Amino acid sequence: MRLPERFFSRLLLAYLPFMVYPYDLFRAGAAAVWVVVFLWVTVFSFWFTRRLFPGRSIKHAFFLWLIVWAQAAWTLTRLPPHWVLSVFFLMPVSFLDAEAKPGHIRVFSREVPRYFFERALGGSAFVIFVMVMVFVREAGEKKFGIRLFEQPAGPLFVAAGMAFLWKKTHRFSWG
Amino acid sequence: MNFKKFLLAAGQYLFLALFLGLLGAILYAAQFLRR
Repeated sequence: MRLPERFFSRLLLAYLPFMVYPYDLFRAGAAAVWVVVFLWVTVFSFWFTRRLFPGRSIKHAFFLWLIVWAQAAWTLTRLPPHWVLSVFFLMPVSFLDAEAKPGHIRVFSREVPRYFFERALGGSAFVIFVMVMVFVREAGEKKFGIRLFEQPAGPLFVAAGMAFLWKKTHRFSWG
Repeated sequence: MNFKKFLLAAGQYLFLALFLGLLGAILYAAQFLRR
């Protein structure tokens, strides 16, 4: 399976599990923050330890890591286990690719802070995106009583509008 | 086989074993900490 390379597409994919959560604004925000913090920890730890894994085992180790944490967080916080899908979709595209050779980038080069800055920016964008979507859904459903927002069609419509605006403004090459 | 290479591979597999152990510990701790 090949993930889309555009950042906004992946943001949208990562948001999809949030559409089925029966959460209010606060709980959705907390779940999004947890997803992003876990994403940052994962990217950070795998970036620095990837050369320590034997051969190609890093991909299996990565998926095991995701599965184990999905289960552990579900046990502890009752967050639905598919929260980990959001993390998976937010992962940088070339993450764990065989062609991406971390050996060529020194640990203390300028590339590393830039890389992590982009990841931090992307994660924050995800939290803001989720909050906006949940806010719009709640406002449309409860305050204005728009039926459309009780169905997935409402949030999808808003997401389509945001994607349109995103395309109109500029094109970043994040991740 | 080159001894240095052997040592490197052994270290990598040791790291993998530690990693799997960490995952197991996470699962166990989650079960244990459940309210």
